[in-house]
Amino acid sequence: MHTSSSVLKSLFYLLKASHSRSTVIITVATLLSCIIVFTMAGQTNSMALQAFCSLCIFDLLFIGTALLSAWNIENRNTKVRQKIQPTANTSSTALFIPTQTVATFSYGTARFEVLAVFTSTMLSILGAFFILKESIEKFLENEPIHIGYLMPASLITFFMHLIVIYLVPNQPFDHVIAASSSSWLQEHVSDMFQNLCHYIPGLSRLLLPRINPLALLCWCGLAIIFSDSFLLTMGYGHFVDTLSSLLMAFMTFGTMVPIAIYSGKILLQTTPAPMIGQLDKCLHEASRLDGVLEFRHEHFWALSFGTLVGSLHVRCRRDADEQLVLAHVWNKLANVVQILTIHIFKDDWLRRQTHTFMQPQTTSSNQNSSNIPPSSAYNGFVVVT
Amino acid sequence: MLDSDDFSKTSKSRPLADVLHILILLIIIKLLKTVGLFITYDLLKSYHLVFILFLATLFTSICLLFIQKPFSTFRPNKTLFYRLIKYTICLTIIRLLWLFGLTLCGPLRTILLFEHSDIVILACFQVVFSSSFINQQGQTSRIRGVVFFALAVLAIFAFDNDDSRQSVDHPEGHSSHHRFFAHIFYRLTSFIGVADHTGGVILLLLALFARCTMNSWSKKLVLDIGGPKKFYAITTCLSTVCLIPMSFIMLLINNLFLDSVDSIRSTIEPTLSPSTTTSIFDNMTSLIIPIILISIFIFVSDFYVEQIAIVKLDRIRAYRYGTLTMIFAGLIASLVWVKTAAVANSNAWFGRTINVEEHELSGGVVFAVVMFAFATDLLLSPLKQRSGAFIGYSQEGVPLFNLTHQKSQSLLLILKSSLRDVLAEYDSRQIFYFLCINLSFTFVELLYGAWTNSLGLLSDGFHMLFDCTALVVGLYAALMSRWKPTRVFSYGYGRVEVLSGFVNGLFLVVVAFFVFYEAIGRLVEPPEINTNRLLIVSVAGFAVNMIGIFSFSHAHAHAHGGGGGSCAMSHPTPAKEQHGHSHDAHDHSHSHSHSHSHGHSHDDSGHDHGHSHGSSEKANQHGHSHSMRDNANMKGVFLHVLADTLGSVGVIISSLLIQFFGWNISDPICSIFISVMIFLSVLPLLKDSAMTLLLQTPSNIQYEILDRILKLDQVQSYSDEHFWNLTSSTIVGTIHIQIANDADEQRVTAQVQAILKEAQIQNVAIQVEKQVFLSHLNGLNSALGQLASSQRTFSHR
Repeated sequence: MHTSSSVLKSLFYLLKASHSRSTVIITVATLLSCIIVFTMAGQTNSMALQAFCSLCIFDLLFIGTALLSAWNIENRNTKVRQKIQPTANTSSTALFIPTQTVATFSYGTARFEVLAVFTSTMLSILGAFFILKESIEKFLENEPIHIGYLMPASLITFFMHLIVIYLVPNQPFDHVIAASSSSWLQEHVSDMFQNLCHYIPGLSRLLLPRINPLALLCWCGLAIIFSDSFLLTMGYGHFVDTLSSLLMAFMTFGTMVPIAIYSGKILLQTTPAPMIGQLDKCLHEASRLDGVLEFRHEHFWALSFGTLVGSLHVRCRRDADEQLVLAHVWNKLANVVQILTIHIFKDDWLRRQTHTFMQPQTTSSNQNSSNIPPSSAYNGFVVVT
Repeated sequence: MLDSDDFSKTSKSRPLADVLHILILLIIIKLLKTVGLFITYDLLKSYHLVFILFLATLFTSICLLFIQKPFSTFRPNKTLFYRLIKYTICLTIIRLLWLFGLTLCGPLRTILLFEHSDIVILACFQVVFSSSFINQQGQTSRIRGVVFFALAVLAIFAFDNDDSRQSVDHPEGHSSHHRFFAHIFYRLTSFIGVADHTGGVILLLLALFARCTMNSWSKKLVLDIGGPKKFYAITTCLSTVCLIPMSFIMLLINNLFLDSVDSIRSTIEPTLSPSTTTSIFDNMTSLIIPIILISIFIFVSDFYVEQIAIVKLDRIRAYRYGTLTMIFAGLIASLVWVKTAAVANSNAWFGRTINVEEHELSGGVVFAVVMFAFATDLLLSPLKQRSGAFIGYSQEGVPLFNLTHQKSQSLLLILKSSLRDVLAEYDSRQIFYFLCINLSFTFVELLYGAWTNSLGLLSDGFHMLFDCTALVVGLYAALMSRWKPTRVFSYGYGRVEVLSGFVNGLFLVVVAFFVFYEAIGRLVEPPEINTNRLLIVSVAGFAVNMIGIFSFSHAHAHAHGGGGGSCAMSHPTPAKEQHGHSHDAHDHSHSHSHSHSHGHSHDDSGHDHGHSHGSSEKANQHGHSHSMRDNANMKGVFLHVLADTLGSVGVIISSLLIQFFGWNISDPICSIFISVMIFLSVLPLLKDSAMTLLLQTPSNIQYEILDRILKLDQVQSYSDEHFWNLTSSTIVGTIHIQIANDADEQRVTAQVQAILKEAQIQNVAIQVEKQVFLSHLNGLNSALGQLASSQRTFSHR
C-alpha cells in the first residue's frame, strides 16, 4: 500500500519534472522495444540475436541507473535544505527507501549509484555468460534458424541502444566510462585506428579519441549480426550463429568487466588508484608536521564516484597541542579527502598529569617502554585494535 | 588488395633503395617456389610422395654437393653425427607430412598453412602462453594477430566447403597398400569423423609446429656444423640417404601390387587401361624435368635466396615479404592453375589422366588469405623492447630498473599452496569438496552423454558446468577474504565475501530470468520432450545437490551455532519486518514446491517422499537461517545449490507427469514456479549484501549509545557519526566529538572508545574537536569539509 503510493508519487514527480520527461518516454520506448525484440529473438531461434538483444535489457538498467542518480541528486538537495531548515521534511521521491534515509545511510545515498552501476554491469556480464552456455547447448541441439526477423530486431536494438546511450543523461556511467581502464575492444579499435591514421592523418580528429565502449559494443554487435545473417543466407548453418553469439558474449564481457571492476573496487572500500599518488604526497607532508610522530590505520576509500572518505590515527608527541596538530593535519588532507576523521592519540597520556613538562623527551620515552603494562589499557592503539 | 610493394613503401626502418634488388629477387624466387609447389601437386597426383621426395632431395643434394662441397671439411665426431642423424630423420618425417598434406589439401591451402616463418608461430605461442598481460602498445596488436591467425585456420578448417571431394569416399580405396600411410590416415580420420581435407589441415599444422620446434632446437647444431648453408647441404644429403630404403620399398610394393593399384584407378576411371601404368620407368623422362624444376625452385634457390635476404634485409622483413608474396601468389596461381591443370589433365601430360577433384577456391579460403596476410603483418611487426620498471636511484645516483616483471612460480607449487589455503578453513573446504563432487558428476555426465550421443545429457552437463562457476566464485572469494590488508585494500579483503554473495545473488536472478523467459516461450508452444534418460539424470543431480545442501547447512549449524544471539541482534530494526517477510517467502516457497509435488503426483509413490524431504529441508533451513547471515558468500553458494536442487526436483516432477500423463505443458509451468521460487529466495540475500555494500548503519548502533556519549563529562555534541558493517562480523565506525575548551581530549577519547567497544565496534576513529580547532583552521585558511555541523555547535554555545 505504502510502496504503491510512493511509486505513484515518484512517477508523478518524474512526469512533472520537465528534464526527465524525455527520459520517461525513452524508458517506455525501450520497454516496448525490449518486448518486441525478445519475442522476435525467440522466434528466430538465433543465439546471436539474443545476445545482441540483451543490450536492450542493459539499456533498461542503464536508464534505471540514470533515474537513481537523478533521485540521488534530488535527495542531496533536499538534505541540504533540511539541514538549513530542519522542519521542512518533504521528499517527493521516496521510492527506494521509504523513510529514515539520513539515519540508516549515514554517508547519504551517493553510494547507491555505485551499486547501481555495478549491478547493471554485473547483470549483463552474467547474462553474457548465460548466453555463452545457452549457445553451446543450442549448438548441440541443432535447430533450424529463421533469418527473417534477424535484421529488423537487430536494427531496433541498435537504434534504441544508441538513443539511450546518447540521450539519457547518466552521470555515474559517464564517470565510470571516463575513469575505468579501457576494455580490450576499445584497445584493439584504438590500435587499429592508430594504424589507419598513419596512412590517413586527417581521420585522427574523428577516430583517435577514446570511443564510448557501450556505443562501440553496439556497433561491433551490429556488424557481427550483419555478417551472421549474411553467412546464414549463404547457407553456412549453425556453426556461424554459435560462433557469432560467442563473440558477442566475449565482447560484452570485455566491455563490462572494466566498468564492473572499477565500481566493484569502490564497493570494496578501496583507495582509487589515481588518488594514491596524491594521497601519499599529502600524507608525507603531514607526517613532517611538528608534533606528529607517526600515522597508523590509514583508511582512505572512495565513497562514490569522486568522493573520498578517510580515517587516520595520528600518534603525536606527548607535549604537543592536540588541537593544533589536528588542525594542521586536517589542513593538509582536507583538500584531497572530503570526509575525514582524524583520531589523535598519545602514548601514556595519563602520565602527563603526574609528570612535569620539564622532563626531557628521551628519558620519558625510555620510561614509556619500561612502563607499558600498567598503562596499556589506555594506550591508544591497543584499545583500537 | 594488399601487395608487398605497399609495405616496402611504408616501412621506414631502413632505406630500401640499396636492398631493392634483393627484395625483388626474393619475391621472384618465392613466386617460383609457388609454381614449384603447384607442379609438385600435379606430380603427386600420379606418383607416390616418397618417391617424389626421394628424387627431389636426390637432385637437390647433387646440386648442393657441387655448390657447397660440404664434406670436404666436415669431420664429425660421434655425438655430432648422432645429433645430425636425429635431425635428419625429423626433417624427413616433416617433409613427408608436408607432402602428404599437399596431396590432401592442394597447393594453395598448403601454402597458407605451412609457409609461415618460425617467428610468426613463436609469437603466437608467446602471446597465448605468456602470462604477462601488461598493457602494452605492441601486445594488443599481437593478440589481434593471433586471433586473425586462429580465424584463418578456422576458416580453412571449417568454412572451406570442399564438398566435391568429400563426396568421393576414399579416393585411394580401402585395400590400398600402395599408399600405406594414406590408408592408415584415412582409417584414422574416418574414425575421428573429419573429412580428409580437414585431416590434411591438421597434418600441415602438425608439420608446421614440428618444423618450428625443430628449427629452434637445432640452432646450436647449426653452429656446431658451421653455418646454415653447410648444415642444409649435409642434412639434405643425409635425408636422401634416409629416403633410399623407403623409396625402394615403395617401388617394390608398387610393382608387386600393381593390380590393386590398377583396380583402384579403374574404380575412379573405369576406362583406363592397365597397360598405361605398367612401368613407372617409362615415365621417367617426363618425370625428370618437373623433378628438376621442383628441386631447384623449392629446395635450392629458395633456401639460398632466403639466406641472402636474411642477411641483407633484416630477418623480419625477409620473412614478411616472403610469406606475403607466397600467399598472394598462391591465390592468383590457384585461380589460373585450375584451368591449366584441367587442360594438362586432358592432354595427359604426365602420361596418365587421373580425374581427382581439384581443390577449388571457396569463400573460406579467400577469407583465410586475407586473415593470414593481416596476421603475418601484425605478428611480424617488431615488438618494442620491454623496458624495466623504474625503482629509484642507487647510492651513487644511478637509476635502478627492475627487469624481473613477474616472479614466475611453477604451476604445481601454486596449485599446492592454493590447495593448502583452501583446505585450511571450514567454509572453503566445504565448498571445495562439493565442487569436486559436482565436477566429477558433470564429467561423468558429459562423458556418458558423448558416449551415448545423447544431447539432453550433454546440455545438462554444460548446465552443471555453468553452475559450478558460482561455486568457483564462492571458493575464490572465501580464499580471498583471508588475504592480508594492503595499501589499496586497507580494510582487508573481508568485503570480498559480501560482494561475492551479492554477485551470486545476481547470478541467480539472471538464471531465474532466463528460465522464466524460456518457460514463457515454451508455454506458448510446448515442445515434445523426450524423457528417456531425463529422469535418471535429474534424480542423480538431485542426489548430488542434496549432498551439497546437507553439507552446507550442517556446516553452518556447526560453525555458527553459538553465534545466534549476536546475529539476531545485528539486524536493522527497519529491515526486521522485511526480513521476516522474506523468510516467510522462503518457507513458503519450500512448502510450495512440496505441495506442488504431491498435489500433482497423487497417484505416484512420490507422496511420502515429498513429505520426508519437506521435513528435512525445513530442518536444514532452520539451521541455516541462523547462520547464513554471517556470511553472504556461503549464503549465496547455498542458495545456488538450493536453486539447482529445486531445478532437478522440477525436472523430476515434470518428466514424471509427461511420462505418465503426457502433459507437455507441465514442463514450462514447473519452470515458471522454479524461477519464481529462485527469485524469491534470493531477494533477502541480495538485500542484505546490498545494504552492507551501501554502508547501512547496523541496527545495534542505537541512539542510546550516542546518548551515552553525549552524557559524558565535558562533551558538548557529536557529529559525522558513521558506523557500518565491514563484513558481517566486524563493525567500523568514525565519529567527531565536540568538547569544551578546558576538557582533556585523551580522556574523552578513551571514554568514547570504551563505549563504542561495548557496542562491538572494533575499528574506531574518533576526532575530538574544541573551539580552538576551528579557529586554528580559520587561521590556516583550510578547507572545512564536513565540519559545518560542528561549527554550528560551537557557534550556538
